[in-house]
Amino acid sequence: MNDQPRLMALVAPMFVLLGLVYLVPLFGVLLISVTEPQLGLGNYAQVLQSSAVAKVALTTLRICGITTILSVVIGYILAYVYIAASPGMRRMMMLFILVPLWTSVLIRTFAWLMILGDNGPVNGVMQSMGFERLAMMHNELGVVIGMTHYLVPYAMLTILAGMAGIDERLIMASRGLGAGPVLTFLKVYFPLTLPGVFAGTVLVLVLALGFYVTPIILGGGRVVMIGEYISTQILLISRWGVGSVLATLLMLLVLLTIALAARAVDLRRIFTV
Amino acid sequence: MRMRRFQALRGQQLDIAGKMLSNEQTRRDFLRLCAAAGVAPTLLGLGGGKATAQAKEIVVSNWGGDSSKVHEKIFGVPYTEKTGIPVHFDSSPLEGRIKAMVDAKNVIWDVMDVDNFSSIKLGREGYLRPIDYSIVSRDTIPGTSFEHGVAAYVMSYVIAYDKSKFPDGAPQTWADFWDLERFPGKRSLYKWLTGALDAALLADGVAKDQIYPIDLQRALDKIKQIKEHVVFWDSGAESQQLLRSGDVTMACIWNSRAHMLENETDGRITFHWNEAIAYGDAWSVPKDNPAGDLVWPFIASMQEVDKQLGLLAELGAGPVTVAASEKTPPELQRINPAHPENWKLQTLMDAQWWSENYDQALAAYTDMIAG
Repeated sequence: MNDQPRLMALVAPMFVLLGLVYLVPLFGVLLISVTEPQLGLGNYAQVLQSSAVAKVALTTLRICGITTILSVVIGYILAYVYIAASPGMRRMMMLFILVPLWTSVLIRTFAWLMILGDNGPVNGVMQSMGFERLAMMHNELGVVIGMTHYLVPYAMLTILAGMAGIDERLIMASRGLGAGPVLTFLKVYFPLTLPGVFAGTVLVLVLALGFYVTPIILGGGRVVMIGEYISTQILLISRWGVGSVLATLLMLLVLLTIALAARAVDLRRIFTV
Repeated sequence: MRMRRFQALRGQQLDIAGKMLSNEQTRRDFLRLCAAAGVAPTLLGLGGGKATAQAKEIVVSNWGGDSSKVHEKIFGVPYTEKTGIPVHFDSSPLEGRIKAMVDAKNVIWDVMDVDNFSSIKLGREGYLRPIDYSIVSRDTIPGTSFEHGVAAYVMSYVIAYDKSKFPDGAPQTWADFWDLERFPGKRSLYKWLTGALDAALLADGVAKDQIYPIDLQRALDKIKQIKEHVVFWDSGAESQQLLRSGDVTMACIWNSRAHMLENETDGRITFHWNEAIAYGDAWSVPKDNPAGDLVWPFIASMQEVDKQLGLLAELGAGPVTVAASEKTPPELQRINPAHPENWKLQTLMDAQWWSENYDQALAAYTDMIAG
């Protein structure tokens, strides 16, 4: 008995719908990048020669890189602590991780703006203790803080899914065979968590590349990431060609990242957390 | 500016965030904030559209927020009482939306609040009706009324500063604004360009009457000198927040916002009119507007002295008719950009130049900020 054709027929409407409302407009964007203002690859040449685009790309990659590393490291530590915690502690931890995740990104962003602003409470305390005021907002540091805060739960939950599947008996076996705690962690536990770490890294990086509101608000107008640059090109200065070239390149970068990830790890793990 | 819808939204968010901090949060504000968050990046083509103009009514399109309420109170209600013609209000007359409406022959607005340089540009491209100056008065501040747009109000980019940070004397000029040694601290300029170029050239020693045509490269180079110390504000609400919180010590912002800050901080943050950069907004009428010629008497009514002064009192927008400025009550003279004492200290943006150069200048400016 083969259900395959019937199942395909049931799923088909979804593919048709996605094709119509997603792929067709997407193709339209790709098309604009070679047709506006005139036919040809002029937009691509212009983008590749533009020093502003180069700077924006560098800023984006730098911030995304730093944010991803920070998010994954913090996420790993959180996940590790979570696994080791008592059930009551686990519930508390999950609450504190999920509530921010469900809070509007705008509210969280504005909260950081107030807390870490030049005259915010943190700087107030630092100054009263005799330290210099530190500019933590309206610069790249502010953007990194805001984005990391947003992305840590994604990293943590992905890594946690991997950790939860590890057979504890392997750890016991390692200890039983004479390895100390450090050696057991390095040689047995850590390698077993690597697929989760990798999945978390890809997920966080892909999300980070498209960040829009956080850099605008926390960057003080000077930290321009690619999402904002594209929106400015398209909505404000009517350089649709340039905007869609960048959108296309960004999409290719994301697809490339995912493709590379797919070679190294089972993709279904990433998206079935 | 077409990015004003942007700002309206972000401004709303900031305003709401500010209210939350002072414990005025309400459930509705929260929901609006969430809605705004979801809507913000999608922009064009959204919003409005509910007001449909039929015969015997007038639809005004402005920039929403406070101006919606105030315009309705000052212009709409009295006009309906007097003539029986209902006046409705819609928002966001972005250039793109005006063009789309006219092209699609589906015009729903009768009169729109646009930058006067936009009115020149759209008029040149054939999207606007010439103003009927036999009914509407052209007796406005020189350089603010044009064939396709009659002056609506004037506003200025002023130097607003934190007095408490400069006990030895306040920054007086744009040269002072650029002088990081005598006046330490961060600055703020408008992220969407207007005001910044004129200020940079004045700081660079260009005479007031020599600013136009703007030497774009020279202005951008001048801004680059202090770029590392500049936060670029995105909405009027953000410009206030930056000064209020002390994140910047001075900023080039709208006089209306500077005045609001002065009130709320009891003068800690203040401003002056020296070297302020004035610009005008215009009333324009789209081609094939539904109310037809009914719109001209309405526009004329908005030029009446009490309406103009109402706008000044409520929004800090300067009157454009000489008659209205002469009748400014003493307590409003200080905040009136068009008052002769204030006006003579300022420069007026050249709408003609902006109508021809805005897009490419903005592109160069955003690239300068990003690059």
